[in-house]
Amino acid sequence: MNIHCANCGPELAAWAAGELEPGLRDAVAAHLADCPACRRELERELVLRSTLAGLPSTACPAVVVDRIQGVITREQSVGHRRRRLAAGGALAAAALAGALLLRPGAGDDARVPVALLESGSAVSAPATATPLPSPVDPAAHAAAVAAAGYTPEQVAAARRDLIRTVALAAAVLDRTGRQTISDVFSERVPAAVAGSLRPLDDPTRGG
Amino acid sequence: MKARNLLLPVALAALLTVPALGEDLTKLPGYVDLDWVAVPAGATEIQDIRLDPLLAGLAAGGSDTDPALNQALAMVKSVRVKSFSLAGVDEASVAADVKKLQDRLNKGTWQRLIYMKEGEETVTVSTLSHAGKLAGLMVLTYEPGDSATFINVVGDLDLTTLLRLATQMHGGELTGLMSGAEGVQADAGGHRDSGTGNE
Repeated sequence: MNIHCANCGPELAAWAAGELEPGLRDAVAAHLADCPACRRELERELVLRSTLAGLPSTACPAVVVDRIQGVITREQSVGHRRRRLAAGGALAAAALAGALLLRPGAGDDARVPVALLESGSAVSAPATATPLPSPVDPAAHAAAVAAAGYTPEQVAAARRDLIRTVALAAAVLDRTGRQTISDVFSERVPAAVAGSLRPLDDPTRGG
Repeated sequence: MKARNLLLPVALAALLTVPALGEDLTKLPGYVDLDWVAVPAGATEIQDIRLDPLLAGLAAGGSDTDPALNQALAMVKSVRVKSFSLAGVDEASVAADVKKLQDRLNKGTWQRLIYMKEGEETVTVSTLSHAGKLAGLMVLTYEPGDSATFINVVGDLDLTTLLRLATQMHGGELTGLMSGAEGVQADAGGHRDSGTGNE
């Protein structure tokens, strides 16, 4: 095979990655011996790889992997517009599901230099199971109470009852122990329950 | 007059922020009818709490500085509680009702999460999943000669949030929350509903 400046780009990248096919090595070496431009290009490739390898890395969130895969899939499906859109939609849905199921500390094996992550599109933060409630506007709340036909005292009493009930349910769950749920009933825990049970931050929590 | 004219649209707009306005509670997944559970004659410390979606939404909207508590309250669509002390009463009907409810939960789409027996006391926690989420929680505690408690919570529930509440509140604060409500303790032989909006 004849190697020319116009077609040796992929070979130079492969050379820098240590992945050049053995049959091409002599041809590329012969070209590099006569081409200062390609030697400079190879040198840039090697410096780039060395720089990236030295950057701090982080676990690649599943949603990023999914999105990249989505782009690859779409690029490979040129000419099949409908299927490409469906795949993108399915992958987007999968990415969303992956984002919703993301757990702290449960990263992928793929590690991506932080610089690439920061330069790319936004990465969604793991979704929490229960979003924090928005701040309540006191005036709007009072208006809603009045419009619903309740007095502030009735709503205050209801709030106390609500708090008591939630606290009681929390106390029962706490008493019986999360460990009990995980260990004894792990095989019978419904998927939705398992999904709603994530490691607590407190390392001293026990069963 | 002008202020009054403004009040109605503001109130209507505010009502839009209240979730589940007009929802039929009995149709919500995770709802358990507890009206048939009879309070035995002579029972004391009776609590009969009913918070429908509208009132629960308004109640959850009150201000509170504790984020864990606010997060837990925001999950709830409705609450039904029946609780009473059994000291010195004929418990035959209570035992039958407890078994009847457990049998209903075991047969249907509910799934038993916890069954714990400590001495004479039994604690059963059951959950109902709907569309991949936890939609209902049923807590049943029964100790012959002591007390019986039936709690049904409907909503977009997350057990981690409840457990986090328990963890962050610690035992004393949680106990304080459970006993802090006033106005629903009953005299002997009587009880008071809380949340009378739909009665």
